[in-house]
This record gives sequence, structure tokens and C-alpha cells, in this order.
Amino acid sequence: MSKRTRLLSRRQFLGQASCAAVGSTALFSTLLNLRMANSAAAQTVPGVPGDYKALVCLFFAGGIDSFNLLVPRGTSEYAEYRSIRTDLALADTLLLPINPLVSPGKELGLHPGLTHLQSLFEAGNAAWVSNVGTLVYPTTLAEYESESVTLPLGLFSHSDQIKQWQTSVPQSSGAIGWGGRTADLLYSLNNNDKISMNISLAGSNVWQTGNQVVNYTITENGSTARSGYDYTWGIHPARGNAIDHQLDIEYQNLFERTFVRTSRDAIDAHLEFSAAIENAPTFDTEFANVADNNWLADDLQMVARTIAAHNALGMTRQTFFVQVGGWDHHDEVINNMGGMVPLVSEAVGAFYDAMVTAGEQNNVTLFTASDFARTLTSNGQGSDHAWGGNHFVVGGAVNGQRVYGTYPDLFEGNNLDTGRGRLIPTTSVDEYFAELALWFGVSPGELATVLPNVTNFYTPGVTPPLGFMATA
Amino acid sequence: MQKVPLLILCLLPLSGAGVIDQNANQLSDVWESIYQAHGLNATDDTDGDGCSNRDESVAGTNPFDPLSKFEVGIMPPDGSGQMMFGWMGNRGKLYTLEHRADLMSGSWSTVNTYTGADAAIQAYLDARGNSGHYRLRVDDTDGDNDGVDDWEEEAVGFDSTTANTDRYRTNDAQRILDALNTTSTLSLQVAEPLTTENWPDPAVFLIRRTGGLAPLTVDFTLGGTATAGSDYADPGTSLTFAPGQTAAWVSVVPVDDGLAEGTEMVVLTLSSSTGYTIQGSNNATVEIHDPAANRLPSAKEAARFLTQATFGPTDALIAEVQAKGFEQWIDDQFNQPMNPLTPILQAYETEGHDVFSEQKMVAWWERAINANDPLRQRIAYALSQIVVISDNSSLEGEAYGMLNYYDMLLANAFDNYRKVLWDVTLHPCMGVYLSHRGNQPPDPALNRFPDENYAREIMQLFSIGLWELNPDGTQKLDGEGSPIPTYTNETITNFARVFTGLSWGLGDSSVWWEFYWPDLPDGTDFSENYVVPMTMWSGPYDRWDSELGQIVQFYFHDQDEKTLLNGTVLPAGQDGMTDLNAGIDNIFNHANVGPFIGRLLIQRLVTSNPSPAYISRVTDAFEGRGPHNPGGVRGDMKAVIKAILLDPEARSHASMAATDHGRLREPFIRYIALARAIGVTMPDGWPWFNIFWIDGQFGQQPMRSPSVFNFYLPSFLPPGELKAAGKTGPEFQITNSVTGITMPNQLLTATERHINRWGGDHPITLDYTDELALVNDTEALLARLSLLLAAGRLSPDLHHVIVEMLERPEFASASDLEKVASAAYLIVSSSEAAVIN
Repeated sequence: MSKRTRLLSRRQFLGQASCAAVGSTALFSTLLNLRMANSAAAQTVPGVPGDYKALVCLFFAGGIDSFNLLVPRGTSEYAEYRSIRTDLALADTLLLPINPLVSPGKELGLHPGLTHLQSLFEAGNAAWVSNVGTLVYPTTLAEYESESVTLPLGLFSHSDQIKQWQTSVPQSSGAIGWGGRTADLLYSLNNNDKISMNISLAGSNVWQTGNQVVNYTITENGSTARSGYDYTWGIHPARGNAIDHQLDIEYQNLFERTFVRTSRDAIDAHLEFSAAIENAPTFDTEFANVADNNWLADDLQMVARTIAAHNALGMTRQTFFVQVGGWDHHDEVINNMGGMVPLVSEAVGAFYDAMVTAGEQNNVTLFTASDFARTLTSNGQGSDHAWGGNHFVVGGAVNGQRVYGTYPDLFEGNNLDTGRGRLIPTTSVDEYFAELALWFGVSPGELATVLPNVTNFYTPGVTPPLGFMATA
Repeated sequence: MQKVPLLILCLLPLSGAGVIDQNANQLSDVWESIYQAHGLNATDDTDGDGCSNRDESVAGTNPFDPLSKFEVGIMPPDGSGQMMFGWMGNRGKLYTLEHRADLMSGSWSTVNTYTGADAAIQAYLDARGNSGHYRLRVDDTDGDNDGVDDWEEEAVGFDSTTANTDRYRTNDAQRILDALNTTSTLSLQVAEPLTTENWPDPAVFLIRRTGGLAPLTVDFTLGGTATAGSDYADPGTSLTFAPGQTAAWVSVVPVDDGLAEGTEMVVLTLSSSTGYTIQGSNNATVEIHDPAANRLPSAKEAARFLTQATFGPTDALIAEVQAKGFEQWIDDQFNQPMNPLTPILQAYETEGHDVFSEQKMVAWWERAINANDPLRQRIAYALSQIVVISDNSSLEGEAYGMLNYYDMLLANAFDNYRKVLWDVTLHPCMGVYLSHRGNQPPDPALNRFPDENYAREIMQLFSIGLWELNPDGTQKLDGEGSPIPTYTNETITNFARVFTGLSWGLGDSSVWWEFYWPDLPDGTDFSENYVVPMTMWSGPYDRWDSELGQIVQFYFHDQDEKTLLNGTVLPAGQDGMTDLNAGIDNIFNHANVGPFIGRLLIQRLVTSNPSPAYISRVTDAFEGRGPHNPGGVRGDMKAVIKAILLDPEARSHASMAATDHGRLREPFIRYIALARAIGVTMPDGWPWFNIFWIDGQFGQQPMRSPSVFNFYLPSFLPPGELKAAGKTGPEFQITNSVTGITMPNQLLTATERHINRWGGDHPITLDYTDELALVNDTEALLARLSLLLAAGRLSPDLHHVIVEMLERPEFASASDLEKVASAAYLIVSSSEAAVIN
């Protein structure tokens, strides 16, 4: 057993004796002040035993062709779809039927690979949000063409749109995400000064980067270990011990003191995380039937384990960022999505099952995001960068079996079409995210702190922005 | 009726599972060793304090000190019946409060337990309704079940939570037993061989102990040409090892007496004693150097300077700086030809390799490690973190454009900041990154406005910042004590109109359509050129308007009047380049530029929290005053660089000793410094630094920040002590629980195997030739690594940690490479190497 482990157990003991004493004094007093200053947020702080919520962002990097995920199925609307998508159109006979409780005005079906999503939707545990995208203000085609309204920077560009879907501030080149801003407000709810409430399975990302909070990165295998530190063969015990003592040196210079503490904390965070995960359920049963090459499922399985370990980690609020790339289908849309969509479906299905097993299905909401949707027209078996698209939300707290927003007309030259079927979003990312943030515990009064543009679309109050989340 | 409970002390016999008692005298051998209590009788009470020696052994108290004993103080019950009792605890002991209603019958039951620490323990008992007899027991525990009690382990510096303290294969009971039966062996070493008068790092003798656990006093004498008390602070003539302590230091802190004395020697000689044996020489020597007037830098001073002025010291550079002195070295660097990056990438591509964004790093690493204009390379890198572009944007893939921009910064590193602003403004990569390429005047009919992106950032980030500054960098305040904004949104909209009319270079600005669709000069092909400065399409142009049915005249450069900073007005109707020049002049001449850019450059090169006086001196140089700017040219980069690097705050020994001085070296620079210091071996016939995709390990990569705000903010306050002290530490913004693991992991890869992220077919390895030659001379090896990797700042503590590591049994059969690599890893991953001060 290492010296680090010993320090850790000492801290855990203190934690049991007096939670308020945990953590560096400076950091903790900052949190206290923050919490008091944000009394509006504090009102939404339940702080009761068993209170736990997690948001899981599933990001489809590259721009998913989401008008082939949620697809018109009724005769006339399918004809319209078929007509504009030409060789990108899915066969109507293969579309999976869904039965929304409230008609979205069009008869819709799902991509044939989304079997698990179909089941979740029909059971009321999944919903769709239609034609959602980055906007600064509600925007008409005329306003778009005359640029008389502020438009997102770098429309149709991967890097800009990926960033803006994560910041929800499309007119700015800043890199602070709304998940980060949410964590800045809410992280005092958690009793863990070593591990961030924002955990990423995809490295650093803008969504989870706040002014104070940054994400903690893990992989599908959990947290990253200091190489060689725990090896028991060769020179490693001696060198691992030397690292322990190197990290125990008392320096005078504040930069050296801060650096050595950061290095020590990083090892502690790993030890703490890995110890908490070690005893968490593996959910191997729920994930038993996913394909071997389903890396998204591997990531979501680790998310499930981390959620199940939230008590051991001292977490009452957590966000997770999971990414699956390869959707930039300038070619072979039909074939490529035919292989990839079922993997997404089975991974999300298994994740929901794991949450049911853990008893956390009502506390965990998974939502999707992507750079943009793709042109409705074909470039010859492929599609190009577009704008508004369709996304799904999964969880027991979702007012499911509904399609939110407005499913747009798809015919070429309609009043949302900026050309080639690049559709102006009719629901902003702000409305989409505000619904999630409110459910997560951000108070209406703090909503504009998390989503600076939100009041361009929605006045925080009693009525939710879209209504897809059950109120607490 | 209330019955006051009776407290009696209870010390259980020495039957704890792990107590070492080799001679079965009922007294712990560790206790005997710590208190030098050999030969005592268990039943005696040597100090006459009422506790037998056996009881003292059980309690862990001193048998020779009547005040040291297990004794419980009891306060009578207060009004609410709470009775307080307390005693001095001992780390590793377990205290148990037990209750028994009737001493004649029944048995003791546990009420509470208390874990011992080296502190007083207070406990409370509710006297009401809890009558009976109470007693407090002391027990030994063996939490890690290794056959030696927790108190014994803690008392001699062992870890009572593991059977294998410090990860030795031999378990703790055996190691403690061995040490009890061994006489201490001392060896005298030099952890730091020289010091300089007024240098904050003292010379250090290291006395190491193996074997023996007892406290030990070691006498020594001091001789040599230097005199204790006058030439250096008198360190006394003895030192003490606490129980279990394995190393002690004698520091030689020189007295700056102002006398020119030449080099003086301090010789420490260990006295002989029956308490220990001395292994090796009983004496060692360190030197005190005397800085005469106008002297040349010492090796450490040169190394410190080079951590600021370059990507890191090398043997050759240290020698050069020592030979020339700081200012001459800087002057010579000013005359070094520039080593551009672009030709390297071209050669790489010519050899048949694909070039995308990441491949620009082939050129960057080559120059960072090998270029013979290291000062210029360092300044350009600093500038690249101020006038930021990033290919983590729509510039993705434009490797040549990015390198061209970087080469522009190299070319301007010793020029003038006015030229930096000008070339940055016209560079197509900046035009794309901050979207003023293709920017057009307002069009009321379309309700269209010029893009404000570049107008905002050139002021906020590249030149003047948000608030009016004094020359010393502090904020100016208005009559109400509030900071004063440097500009309004109106200033931004006016500047946005200045930055109209620019589009792709090589285009023909005599025709309007090439503003949108430039051709190559031969007229053949559409060209978005990322390496040629943008061209101004000012106007007027004629265009047939089909709705009006007539030719209309229009401009791409805004023709209205523009009001800029400080009320400067650009008259209406000027052509684009005239406006642009006037606009850049207007920004460049704002009084904020000197302190704003000066502070940012100081932060990048020297210290995160420069004093106002330091900033003020750099502002002087920027504004054409002071010794470094004899020409009186505003914005002269050479003057600014000299002012920053030669300032007392950068050079003086006093600043080194200040606990808030210095900065964290960013991961990339720490990594390059390692490669530069040790040197690299390229694989056979492979000249390219293919160090790709390493940004995930470091949290940064040159020219690839997440936004125009760079990797970190100049105002970032790291949580903890720096924040509490109100001190910034920008580089800590990318040093967190993730990079806190991945960065040292990459350093391990580099020190052990290769400096590429993955070795693959072309592993580039560190060239340890010089270090391997010293593998059997640990002192020399560590002195060398300390100088090269930590500017000579290796602490005696870390020196000792590495020496202990190399002498452990695990290293007995280790290869020379493993030894050298492990020492390098421990140093390069340390705070000493991570921080410049």
C-alpha cells in the first residue's frame, strides 16, 4: 500500500467526522460564499439524502445527418422527404413507427437502427426535440439573408459549431461551456474537492469547462494512473516511493507549493476514483449484448459505473461528456449510418437498463448534441454541413413519447431553407439546454448566468421552455 | 441522587501482538531505543512520577521525565451534568473508556474509544443517570498487522498503515528489528557544492544515516579558509537525528560582506563517536564564491537566465552566457540570423510526407530544440500567446499559413511592436481567425454591419486591454475610485469600419470581384492564400445594378468618418490603407500598450506577478526612455526584451528568495527544456521531429489554443495558497488532476524511452552520454541534472530522496540507463524543475 493511499484514508476519516472540514480552506470558503451569494440557486438546492442528478451529453462529432434519424413516414410527408433527399432517403418500409402522445403534425418514424430508441420512446422514457440548433435570436429566412440579425459565428464550420453547441453563446469565440457554468454554480453541492463534478470520457471539452470548474477526464477503463507508480517489480517500488517523498517535500515558494499540491491531488483523485469505482456494479449484464466494437457502449458503461458510485464519490450532481465521432458523411451516408446508428441505439438502451438496475433512471438524463445536421439534398450519396437538426433525450424524468419543437417542412426552398436544405433552427440550443439546466437544479433566476442568450427565446418563469423534463 | 463517576487509569500488560521485546524485560525495545532507556527495570519508577517504567513503556511516555506520564485530568460536572476529562495522547495508542456498574460483579463494557495523536485529547461524559465506575485503558494496536505496534512504527518514522513502509520488500517488523540491532552508520556527502554571496541557495552538506533508530547527536567541526559567523552564518557544531531520521543537512549560508575575497572553502569534519561509525571520508568541502563588481555570471545564474530567455539551458548556452555576460549574449542574439519554420515543413513535404495541421509541429520542435537563435524563438512563442491565432478553428489544415504567421512573429521579435500589430492585422490567418477578411462597410438597405470581432480583440487582447493603466500597470481610477474603460462599444464599431476592405492577398484590387474571388497573378485560378498579406480593396468600384438599371459606385472600405481612441478622428473619404495605418497608429500610441504588453511579456518570460516598479521600468523602455532604449524609439522590441531580462527583478538574488516570485513553466516548455538539456538522438537517417498529438498529454500545443484567449488567462488565480495571496499563476489553468497525471507520464516516457508520443518506427531518444559517464558519481550526476533541468535549484530534500532511491536494493541490478533515467525523471517532474524563480 502506498503512502498516498494512507493520506487518502486519513482524509476520508475526517470526512466522516465532519464533512464541512474537508478540503482546502481557501477553496471551501469560496464555495460557501458562492453558495450564499447565489441564494436563488441555493433555493433549488435540496440537499436531502438521496438527492442526486446527472446529465449525460452524448455528442455526435462531425455533424450527424439527423433528418435520417427522425424521418417523415406519412405518405405525403415521406414523398416530400424522398423528393429532396433522393439517394439519401431511407426506404419507408424500413422506418420504425412511433406513436407520439401528442401529434407533431406529421407522421414520423425512426432510422431502422434505432430499435432501442423506439422502445424507450414508446415506453415514455425518450423524447425528440426537432430542428434545434445554434441561434443568437429567433431568425427568419429574410433576416438570415440580410444579416439583419446577429448570426452564429462560423455557421456550417465544424470547429465553430462544435464550440457553440457547447457554449450556447454562438456570437462569441469564448470557450466556457454551459456545463462548466452550471458546475460553477452547483459544485458546492458535492462533497469532493479532488474530483470534479464534470467528468469527461472524451478528454478536455468546452461544454464542461467553467470559470472555476474543469472536467476530470477518465477513459472507458476509469481514471488515468500515474505510470509505473504502483508497479511492484524491478526498480518500481523504489521509484514509486521516491515519488511519494518527492511529493511530500515542503517548499517555500508559493508556485512550488501549488505545483506539488496539484501533482499530489492528481494522484489522490485517481486513487479515490478508482477505489470508488472498484466497488461499483459493473453492469456487465445490461451491456452483455452490445457489439464488441461498440466503444460508445464501453464509455457509457463506465459512466453508469461512475453514477452508481456517486455516494462513494460524495457527488450529488454530476455531468458526463461522451463523444462518438465519424458522422461527417460527405459520402456514403446511408451505408455508414446503417452501421453506426445501431451501435448508438444499443449503447443508449443498455445504459438506460443499467440506470434502472441502479435505481437511478429518474435521476439521470442523457441528451444528444452534434455540430449541425446535414444538407437535405445530396452531393451524390453524401451530404454536407447544415444547421438545425433533431436530437433525443432519454431518462425516466423525461416527459417521453413526444416530439418537441416543430418538425419542419423539408421541401426545397421552404421558408427555413437557406439553400440545399440547410434549415434555420426553429428551436434554439438555449431552449433545449434551459430545460435540462432547470431540471438539473439551476434556478430560473440563475438561468441567464448559465445560458446568457436564453432570454432572447424564453422568459424564465413557471412555464418550462419546452416541457420535455418532468419538474422536480 | 447523583453519584460522581470514578475514573481510574488502566494500563494493560505488554501483550500487544506486535511489541518488540527481544530480551523479554517487559519493556518495548523501540521505547528503550527512543528514550535511551536500556537496562531499566520494568518495575522501577526511575523518574519517580508514580508510573512504573513498564507503565511508561505501555503509555509510550518518557521514563526519565516526571512530567511525561499517562495522566487524566477531570473537571467536575457542569450545570448540565457534563463532565470533561482529558489527557495527553500518543500517536499510535488506542484509548478506551470502559464502564462497570459494580466492581464486585459484572464486567467492564466499552463506552467509547479514542485514537491517539500527538495532542491532548478531551472527552465528555454525561454524569447524570450514568453512575458507576469508569476506567480509561491504553492499548497498543497493530492496525497493519505487521508484528510491530502502531506507536512503535510512528515513533521511528514508519507508516503504521502498511506492513511495508516505503514499499520495501522486507516487512516493517524485520526492518525495525534489524535497525534496533545495528549501530548507526553515517556518510558525509555534498548536496550542493557551492554558493555565492547573496545567492539564496546555500551550499549544503548532507549527512545520511543507515541503521540505528535511536535519536543521535553528531558533532562536527568546521574549517577551511572561510570563517563561520563572519563569512557564513554559523551553523553550530552539532546536529541531531530524531528517532528513525535518515538524513540531516548542514547549510552554508554566506554572509554578503561586501569584501572582495575570492573563493573561500568550508570544510566540515565529522567527529568520531561510539554512537556511530563513519563510512567513507569524515570530511567534505564546499565553496563560497564572491561576486566581484562586473563579474561574469555563475553557471547557476546563467541557467536561471536561460530558463527565462530561451526554451531552456544547454551546456553550450550556459558556457556562452558565462563567457559573455547577460547583455552581450542578448546583443549577440539580436544579430543571429532568423531560423524560420516554414522551410522545414516544405522539406518534410518534399520528402513525400502528408502535411495537415499537426505536421507543422515537425518544424516547431526542430526550431525549439535546435535553433541557434534561441532568444528569438522564445520571444516569438511568447508573442504567439498574445496575438493568438489557433488552428483549433476554421484554420484547421492550414499548416503553412500557421507557420507563415509564426515566422512573421519571429521576424518581428526584435523589431517594433507597431510592426507586430500591423503584420498581425494584415495576415490572412488572422483575417480568417477573427473574421475581418472580407469585412465590408455597413449597408443600411440590408441592415448589415461590419464584423466587430477583430476590432474588439486587437484592443482587448493585443494592445491596450479593458482598463486605463498607469505606466506601472496599475489601473487608473476615476474620481469615484472606479477603473476607467479604455474604449466603448462605439469605439469598437468605429474600428470595425477601419478594418473593412481587406481580402485575400495576391488578388487584384483594381477589380471588385476579386474581393470575393481572387485569382492568382497569372489570372488562372481561384486562390485563398494563407501566406501572403491581405490586400486592400478600397474602392470606388463600378457595378451594374440590374434593379436600378444603371451603374452604381461602391466601396469595400468604409468611407465615413471614424472616431477612434482618445477622440482621434479619421476624416471621411480616406482610402483603406490610409485609414488602416492611422488606426494601427492610434492603438499603438495609446498609453496602455507599454504596461499592458510589458506585463504580458514579463509573465511569459520571468514572473507571474511583476511588481509595479518592474512594469514601470519596462514601460519606460517601450516608450523610448531609459538605458535600454538609447534611440528613444517607441515600441522597440529589443529595448523591451532587455528591460525585461536584465531587470533586477529578473536577475537579482533577492527576488529569487521571495515566495511569490517566479512562474510555473508551461508543459511544452518543460518538455522542450528536457530535450534541449539532455540532447536527443535521432533514429538512423530520420531527421524529423515527428512528435505528434502530444497536446492531449500537456493540455496545450503551440498555435492551437481553444480560443483567442490563449491557453490560460493572465489573471488566473490558482485555487489554494496563490489565490489566497491574490497572486496569479496563469500556467496553473492547464495544470489539473488530468494533466497532473498525463504530464509526468509523458515525462516518464521521455526519460525512459522516447520523446515522441508513441515511439513507432522513428523513436527519438534522449542522449544520456554525458550523464551515463557520471552514473557512479551520484553527487556529480545530480549537480549536472539540477543545473540543466532546474537551474541548479534542486532542494537537499529531493537530492536525498534520489540518493536513497539509487541505493535501494531494487537498483542494485538496475542498468546504468535506468539509474540515470530515474534520476532525471524525479528531477524533471519536480517542483524545482516546474517552477522558475
